[in-house]
Amino acid sequence: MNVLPYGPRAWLVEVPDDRVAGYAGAVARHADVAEVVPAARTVLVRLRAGAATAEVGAWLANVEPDDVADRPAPAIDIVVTYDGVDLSDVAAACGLGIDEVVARHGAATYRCAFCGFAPGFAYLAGLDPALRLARRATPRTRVPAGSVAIADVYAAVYPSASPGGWHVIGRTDATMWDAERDPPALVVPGATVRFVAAR
Amino acid sequence: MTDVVVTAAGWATTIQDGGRPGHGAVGVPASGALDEPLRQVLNRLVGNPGDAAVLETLGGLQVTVTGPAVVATSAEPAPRTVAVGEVVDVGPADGELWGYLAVRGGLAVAPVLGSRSTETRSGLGPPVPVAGVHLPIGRDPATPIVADVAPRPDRTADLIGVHVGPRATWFEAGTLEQLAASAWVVSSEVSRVGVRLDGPPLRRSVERELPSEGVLHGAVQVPPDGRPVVMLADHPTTGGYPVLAVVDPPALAVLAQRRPGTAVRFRLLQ
Repeated sequence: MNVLPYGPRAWLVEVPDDRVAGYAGAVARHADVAEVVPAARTVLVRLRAGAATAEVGAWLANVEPDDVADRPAPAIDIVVTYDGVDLSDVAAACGLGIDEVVARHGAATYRCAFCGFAPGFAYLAGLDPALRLARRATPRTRVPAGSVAIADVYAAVYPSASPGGWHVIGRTDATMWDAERDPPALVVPGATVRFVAAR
Repeated sequence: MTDVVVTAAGWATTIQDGGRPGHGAVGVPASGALDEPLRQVLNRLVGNPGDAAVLETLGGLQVTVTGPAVVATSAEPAPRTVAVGEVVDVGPADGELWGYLAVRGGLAVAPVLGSRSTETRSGLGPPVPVAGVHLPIGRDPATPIVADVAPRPDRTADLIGVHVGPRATWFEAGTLEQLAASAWVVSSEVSRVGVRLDGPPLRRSVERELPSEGVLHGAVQVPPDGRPVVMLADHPTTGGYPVLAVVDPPALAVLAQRRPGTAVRFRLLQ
């Protein structure tokens, strides 16, 4: 594990991407760790005030990730109406028909690699490689809540209206984020997700 | 029950307390007052516990009260009793950017995920105050008011301390030194999300895409245009721009209070 400096009370640790969730889980149990933020290939580790930063950094280099492969994870089906504003552009850019884009998006089983960007915004790994596109060159100033979108190697659902640069291919009524719900995020890191076309 | 009544909403006005750290893994930043030391000082002046919620604004905020209430503001940092009908102006102190109003008892709006802070990107937390809204004042803390004046947080620090960041090696040799040697100017794009700085562009040596990684308050991110952005309390919890440096936590409020057009200089720590 490669431990990178992040100021006086944090470290950023590079982790093989299939071990991120397990590493984050193992590290979070340390008494000096206030918070862990898993991402694509890293775990950001924020320490409590007064923690021995250097010693924890040395420890972080050798933590054995938890084995999370067999751990039961929530499985969530999200019903999608495939009528997004970017659907035809995505089909053209991928060299596929619209039906084929919909079929490939709906055929995959996704795993929430991490959350970020906005409350409850889950980066869902497992997108069909034929649908891999860079983000839009110019982000939209407003993407509606419930927008089902893809970018790079991920699928996602916008939990709330926000600016955004992902390709919107559909929409869902699923409530991705509700601060009054426990847990507030419908999809948490490690959860599996399938997209089901609305009839 | 006594309320604070917003009669003019002002600019970028929100309710803020100490924030809600600990939810970064589901995309929720800590939020909280941008000038946390000042929030603490004003709360102490009115006898509040440290977690009491206050109003934060760029200025132009006016409030009244429905019953006598003890307040302290950043422009007038001393406890005083406001009578019904009296208008309290809330804005930043001279030379600063963000102003605050603390009221004895704190603002007792409903907390969300354990905090009364509003996160301005997603709207998580209490609604943004608009003219006419009533904000309930919490129970009197029953503590004596012990100070008539409080030492203002030291804002004379000329240099903002920075530590080396996780992706410093993604930049051309000498870029950290360039960050420290250059005269930066606070841009006019003011927000609770970050401070953008104008100056000689910082250049990357590694051009490949950086997969999104965790971001903290104080991270100095460098977007493709080379103008650094220092992340503040409402920052996205992950980002794909490399973090060159990290601002020393005590300097964060100093930086957040710098007005657009003012100069910023950094000093490399360690």
